[in-house]
Amino acid sequence: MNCFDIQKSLHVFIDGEYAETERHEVETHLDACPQCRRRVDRESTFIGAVRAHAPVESMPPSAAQRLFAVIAAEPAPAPVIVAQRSWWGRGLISPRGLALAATVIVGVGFGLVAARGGADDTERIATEAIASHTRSSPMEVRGSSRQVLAYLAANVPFEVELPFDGQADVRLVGARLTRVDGRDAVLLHYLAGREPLTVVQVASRDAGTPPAATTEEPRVYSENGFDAVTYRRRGVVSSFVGSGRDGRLPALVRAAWRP
Amino acid sequence: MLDTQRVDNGINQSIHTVVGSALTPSSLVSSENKEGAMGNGKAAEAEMRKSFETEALVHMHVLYNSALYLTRDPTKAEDIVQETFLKAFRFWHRYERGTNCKAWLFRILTNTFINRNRRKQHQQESMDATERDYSSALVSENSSFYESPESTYLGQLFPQHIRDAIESLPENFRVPVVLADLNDFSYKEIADIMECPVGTVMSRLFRGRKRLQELLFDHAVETGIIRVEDARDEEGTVSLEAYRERRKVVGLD
Repeated sequence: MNCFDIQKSLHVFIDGEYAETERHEVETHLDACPQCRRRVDRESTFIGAVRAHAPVESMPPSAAQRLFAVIAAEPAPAPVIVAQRSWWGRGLISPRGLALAATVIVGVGFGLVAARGGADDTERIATEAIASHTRSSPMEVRGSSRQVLAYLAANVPFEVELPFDGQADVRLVGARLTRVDGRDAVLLHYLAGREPLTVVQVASRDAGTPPAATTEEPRVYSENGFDAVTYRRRGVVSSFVGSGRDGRLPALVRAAWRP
Repeated sequence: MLDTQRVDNGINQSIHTVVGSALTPSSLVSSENKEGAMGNGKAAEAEMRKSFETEALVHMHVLYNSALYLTRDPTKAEDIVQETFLKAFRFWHRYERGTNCKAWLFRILTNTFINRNRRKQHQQESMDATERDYSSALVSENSSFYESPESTYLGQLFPQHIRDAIESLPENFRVPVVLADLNDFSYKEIADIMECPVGTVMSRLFRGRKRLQELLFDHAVETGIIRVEDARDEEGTVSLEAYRERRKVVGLD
């Protein structure tokens, strides 16, 4: 570590965000370098002074009373049930085709087994995807698929997959970096016809598990009138949220899902 | 081998899961025992409200304090704090009891604040680089700004100056500074709250604090705490503010 490195990340050190070994490296440098030492001291002093002297206000008693009243008047929400339907169940089952039923059993069985290990993970991601879809955040990058991929790849620690590459009538509008379930994630904004379609992608938490377990079939999570069709593939979870009224979502995700 | 029963159960039924560890079986209304269900319902609501009070509402003062810095107006601050707690109440089942409630609430507060601001047409606080009167190198080299805190500016950092300075930061910088320096959240927590990568947090926080330094330095020169003659960098160029001061003192303006 040289002086330039230290200067670039003064605050990371001062805020105690360095891991053990890196922090030790910085301290070793500071012991030997009075200029950097002085810089660190000054920045520390400044940040410390702001924290110590920034005025703190409490909520005025009248405002607190109004808040309690508002909460008391709010009806207690009914326990929310999140329906987790295997996506095969969306009107697919009919008497015709035993072969179809056979594939379905395999599909369901596999899906159920895989879901047990990662259900909480994908469910949380699906919920956040639905929230992201209804909140319109600005895009950070627009352009061709290649440009978008390049931007995203440079900023997240997993392999981003553009699910609708080459699909007519589904257009990539833009993307942004975001944070989902405590991890760096990407949000892809598509237009399927004229309906907005949001895809949230994030790496699975379970690194180091066998490859079979890092694949999970598409499942439908419903909340607040929205469906999030979510699958996990090669350790990356993708959650698709479309307009509540758009029945095309399962078909689109089916096209994107290639095990 | 076809197991039609399993197929039917697995496919035709919805697999219901109750979200969040907060809800215990007793709080689900049982259709069999209506009387018991009513009792269960009331008890469950009371329990839920009690837990909300002890775990969530307990943070209302810190939320209000930060809301005040963000909105710069007590009425707006009260407004977004109310909206935050209402949302938190409606989604209380979504929150995992015993995990970081303060961060969860701040995420709602920050989202509420940012969404409200987005609706405003014009940006009041788009301070660009050219508005700065001086370089930040000037600030960090000025020893009277930093040394012996008792006698110099930092020791006399008037609280109101700090509030004014933080409140005049552009939103992009104000949010991470409020989260880091008024609330002591970690970079990861701030990233989760702001829904952006940790790298973005570090960059905005760094630049926000730099801007803060410049603002407070300007104040220090203005109020005479740092002598005008000392407000000079290595090349001998004087800050615009200090230059104005000198002209006033000499009687040219």
